[in-house]
Amino acid sequence: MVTPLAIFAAFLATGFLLPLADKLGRRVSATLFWALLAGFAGLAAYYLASFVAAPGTLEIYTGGFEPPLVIALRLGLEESAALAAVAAVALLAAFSMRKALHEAPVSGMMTFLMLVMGLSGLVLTRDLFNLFVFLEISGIAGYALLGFDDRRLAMSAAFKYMVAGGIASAAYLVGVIYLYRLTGTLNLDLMIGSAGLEGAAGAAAVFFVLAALLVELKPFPANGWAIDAYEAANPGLGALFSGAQATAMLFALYKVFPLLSDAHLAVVMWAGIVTFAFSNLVGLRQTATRRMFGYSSAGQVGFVAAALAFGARYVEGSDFAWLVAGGLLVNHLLAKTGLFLLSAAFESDGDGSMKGRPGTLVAAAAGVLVAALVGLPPFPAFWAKWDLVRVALATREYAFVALVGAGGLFEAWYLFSWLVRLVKGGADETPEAAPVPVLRVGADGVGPVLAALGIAALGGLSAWTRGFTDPLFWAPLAGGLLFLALDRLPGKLKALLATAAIAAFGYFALPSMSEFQKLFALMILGGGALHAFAGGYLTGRRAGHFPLYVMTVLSLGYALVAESALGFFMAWELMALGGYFLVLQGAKGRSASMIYLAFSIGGAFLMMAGLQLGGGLIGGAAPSPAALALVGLGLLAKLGAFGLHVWLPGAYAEAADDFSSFFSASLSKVAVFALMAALAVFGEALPGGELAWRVVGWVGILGAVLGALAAIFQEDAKYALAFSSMGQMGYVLAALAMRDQMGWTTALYLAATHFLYKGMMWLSVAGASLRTGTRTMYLMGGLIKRMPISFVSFLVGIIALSGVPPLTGFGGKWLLYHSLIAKGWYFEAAASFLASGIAFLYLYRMIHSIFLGQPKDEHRTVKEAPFWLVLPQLLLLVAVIAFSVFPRLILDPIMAVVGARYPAAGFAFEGQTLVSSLGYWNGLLTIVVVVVVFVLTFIWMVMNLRKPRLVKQFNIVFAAERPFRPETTHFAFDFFAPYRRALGFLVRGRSEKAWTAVAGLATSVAGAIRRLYTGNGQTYALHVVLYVGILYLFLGVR
Amino acid sequence: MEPSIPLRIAYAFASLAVITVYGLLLIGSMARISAKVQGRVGQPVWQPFIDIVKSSGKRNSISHGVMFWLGPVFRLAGGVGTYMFVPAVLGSVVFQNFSMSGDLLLVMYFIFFGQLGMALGASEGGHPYSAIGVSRGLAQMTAFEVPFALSIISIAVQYGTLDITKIVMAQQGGFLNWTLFTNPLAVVAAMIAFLGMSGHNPFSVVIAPQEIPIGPPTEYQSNLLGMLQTNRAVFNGAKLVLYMNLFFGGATNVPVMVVKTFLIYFVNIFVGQAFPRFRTDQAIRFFLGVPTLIGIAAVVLFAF
Repeated sequence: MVTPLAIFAAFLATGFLLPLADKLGRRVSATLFWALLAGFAGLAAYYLASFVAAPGTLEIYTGGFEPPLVIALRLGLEESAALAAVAAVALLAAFSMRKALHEAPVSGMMTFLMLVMGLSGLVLTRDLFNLFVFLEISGIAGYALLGFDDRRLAMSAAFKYMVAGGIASAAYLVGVIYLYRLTGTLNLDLMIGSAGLEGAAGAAAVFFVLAALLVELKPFPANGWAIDAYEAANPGLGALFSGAQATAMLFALYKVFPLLSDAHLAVVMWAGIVTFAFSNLVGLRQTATRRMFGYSSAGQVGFVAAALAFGARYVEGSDFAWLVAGGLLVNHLLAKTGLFLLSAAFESDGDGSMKGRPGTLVAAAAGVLVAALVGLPPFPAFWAKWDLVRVALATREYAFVALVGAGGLFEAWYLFSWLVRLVKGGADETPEAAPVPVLRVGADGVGPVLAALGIAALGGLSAWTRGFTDPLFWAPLAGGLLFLALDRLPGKLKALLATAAIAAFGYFALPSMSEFQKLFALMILGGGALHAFAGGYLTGRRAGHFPLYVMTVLSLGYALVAESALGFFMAWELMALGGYFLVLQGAKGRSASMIYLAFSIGGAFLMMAGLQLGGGLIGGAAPSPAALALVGLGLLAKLGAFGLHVWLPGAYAEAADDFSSFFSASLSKVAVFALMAALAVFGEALPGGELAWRVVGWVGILGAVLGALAAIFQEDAKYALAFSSMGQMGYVLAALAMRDQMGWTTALYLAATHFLYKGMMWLSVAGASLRTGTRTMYLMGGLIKRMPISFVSFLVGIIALSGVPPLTGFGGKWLLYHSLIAKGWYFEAAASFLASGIAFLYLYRMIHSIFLGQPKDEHRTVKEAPFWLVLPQLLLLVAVIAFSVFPRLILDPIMAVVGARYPAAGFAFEGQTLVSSLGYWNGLLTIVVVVVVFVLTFIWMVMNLRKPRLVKQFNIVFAAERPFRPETTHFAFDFFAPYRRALGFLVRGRSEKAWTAVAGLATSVAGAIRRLYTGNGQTYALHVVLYVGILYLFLGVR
Repeated sequence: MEPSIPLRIAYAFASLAVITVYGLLLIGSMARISAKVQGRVGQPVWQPFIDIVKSSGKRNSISHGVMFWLGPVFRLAGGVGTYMFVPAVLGSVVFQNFSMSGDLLLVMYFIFFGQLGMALGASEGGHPYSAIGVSRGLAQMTAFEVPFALSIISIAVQYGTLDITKIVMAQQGGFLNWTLFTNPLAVVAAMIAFLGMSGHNPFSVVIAPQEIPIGPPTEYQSNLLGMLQTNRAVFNGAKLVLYMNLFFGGATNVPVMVVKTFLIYFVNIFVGQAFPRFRTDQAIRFFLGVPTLIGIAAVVLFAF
């Protein structure tokens, strides 16, 4: 094996040779430069491969003597991994900086090499003083490199960096001097366990070394100098600092861990996690991209340091450090490197304005990088976070967990906001404006794509090594990738393929499902396939739609069959991520998708904490009220329960029409599934007992009332349907909260029927708005004659939803009131009556405004909705009719599922009659009576018709006048004005205001904290000194 | 002994015939009473019969489309269906109708069937007054449903059932057993709701003859109007029978039914002649105010 000393020799030699070679021409010096970097990367890869194949360590004693006489180096698996990371980032960074490096004086390349060498030294050395030397080498090279392209801003940033670095070096040196005095050695291995470290003097000496390393890791709030440096640096250099330098520094910190006491480690842990939470909080206010990435980098590095310290404090062995800190680190360095390179390729000057938007591949890479950095699956940080939170909860470090969650949420917000700016281009939401042109970046796209590939491969590897070998687990990702590869095919063909893919998933997943799972599979996978087919209704390729759609539906499918909490949670997050991107694809999806994302990520984190508290394994967990409460809160957010619903209207309404339909009809049901499953796993006890469940019930009922009330005031058809869904899911939640046979039968029946009729209504509206080019209802009208099938579908949908007998909806109402009254929830029942009455209002308003009334001149020639939309509606319609005539078709399976959990039968069938303690209902007889009466009446009407004449549109009794225009005759705008006068005050968006206030508070705090960062080097120096002093106080040395 | 299906259908027709005739007479007599109160002579009691015959005899000059035709069909089917789901006379095989289809909830929700269908038909007519009328009617409906629902919940708690026949049975054995006396708050709440349901003053803004001539039925004429007029009789009858069953001890024979329903309906006229009309938003606020509180009190009284 080549000795690692060769690295230093090669770097130094090349460094000296470069000016000479440069005399022969820039091409020669550049070749030398690239050859060295490539060779270094090759060597690092070789080391890594060797140590993976044959673990062990290589001890190198310079000069042939043993320590303490000489400096010792060590090369093992950990070192070679860190070297490989440094080399990879250095290559990518240099590639991105290639133009600047080639144009600047040759000293630029020289300092670049010195920086990389210094970082390698930090990784390899086992000598504390030697560590100082490499700190200085890399530090000085860093300052120099910051200013290598001679910009004024960079010069000043480099100076501030130097001041802070100088203070850190001084502290380090003081610490090393004391340590040498106390232990008599500078060799780390000999120093470990030395008696000299005990006592206050030892602790203080170690603290100085530790503080210096911490400062180099850019902790909040003593990191103003670093943020300025990130902002000023060339993005490639930013990547090098954020990826390679941070890796080396973290490795150096990890190296001195054996010297640290628990108190020292606690300081590292808290300093790190506080940095993570607050750096990201401050990042919320940042729009200048490179500065924003700077906050993110500081936060991520703090997070890794915290995870390392946490592992050292609480977990035996080094596996945890590998899995968690290693996972977080490699995730960070690849993702952040990729993001800095993207910023270099697409941004004008780091001020957030984009030169153009990326093509599909680069956009996908950007999505991967941001999702990875935020800790979404299947990327390494996701698995690492899962483990970290599990152990943190087990050790009752709740504040630590809260900071992890908060930091992640903040980071997700600003990083995804940046991603939106990147992939949509521009800063404002102006759909009318010409779309931002695609910018072909050529070679500059290679770095981000490679980083994305690397991170995806490592994520996949993490999943595989955790035992996820089930093909169904991989299906969502594989499906997404497959459709990404097929993205050039026509949209209609992809719609068929997607339908087939989802059906195939169902075919393979179904045999292993329980009856309970099958019921939801029908709604989710069945609905998924129907809506995949409906996806063919638009002309063109629909670039990017199908990969995300297939991934989302299949992750939902996997969520149904997942056997471990981790598998379920992964699918859950993946589904949220896919849903986010699908909402974002809507023409006006920007702000809606961001709010959705915030609630998804916040909810998911609560859910993760709950799953971990409850033991982490489905089926094997102990009942835990706290776990149920956390998981439940996360699920209520997904369900759009009242108070947590603010994301729902926008997300449902602004997504593409077919996805809106799937979102509302199918996707929302997975929260019901998970809630029921959670009750089975964690028990039914909530903190607060029965009262808490009563509150949950009321949350559902309030959602039903206020959702319906908000729906009646919407002019936009999709918003009306979105609020309607919120209301309908409110009933489901209330029914679920009853937790008995009657309640759950009701909940499942309502969920299943909502899937059927809401799908019809959404798709019908999709057809109408496709043909008329608007979603605003009063701009439509009279479409019944042009789109009769869509009308019938919508009609059956509203009859079913309203609960009017004889269609399925009545069954839902009957079950709901019987179970509520039997449970003694009388006022909930009364409020449901109100909600169901209000539902009539918006239902009528919608069908009247869209399909009835006066058609507009420009819509006189519109055609029926495309076959792609009509067929799914007809299938749903058949199902609605079948379940209306034979309610047992659907109630029998539901009651079988519920009966397995709640044997006491409040509802039971006697023949075709459903009986409860309060009454009875015979669905078949009802429909027969209604149909007979209807037919007889119809015959009477037809027999009495005498020469009727179909008249023209305006031939109406209009005060002896003829109306002038359809627009003035179609009574549709502000349809329920009296209602608004009477009750409009109830729906003035108080929840939105409350959440806006919370968000405002966060950004205000961020703004206040940001004032610390004055940009003044002296202030920054003071920060560093004070920070070290305060950390010392926290150490509590007496 | 359960009657056979053909017999049952025959009985249903008989029962329907009785309620139709009675309903029309009721409308006629109430109109005459109102006229007397206002110092007019008024129409003959049988005028509603004449109206229907006349309307049905006229030629249809106008149609606006399929849904427009179906509106009255829905309306009448809704009225007849509602009646079919209510047991009209306790213990009578003829007047049992098809009440075995479902309990009180079925009746309450089937009431919407005709209203919804009619609203849709009126909508296709394209007349703005129809839509305005529907908007007002539905808005008012959601409000009076609240005290009504509370009242129903209260008696469901009181009697432990939603089965109309059982509720009637529980009130047998003397008028002091009527819900009117055992649960007066629920009856008051329901009777106020009934005023809204019937659309007389002060809740007549739905068909507001002056501003939006007769509201939803604006575009309807000839036999379609005849169907709507027939429905008024049947539908009123059904609602009255329902109220009688729930709150006033039901009826064991037809004469008792006639007397009781007449008196219940008379409350409408009594109030209607004495009060002016509410605007829609006022009506909504009214129903959600004191009547709702009374309803809540009725529930609280029996539930806790």
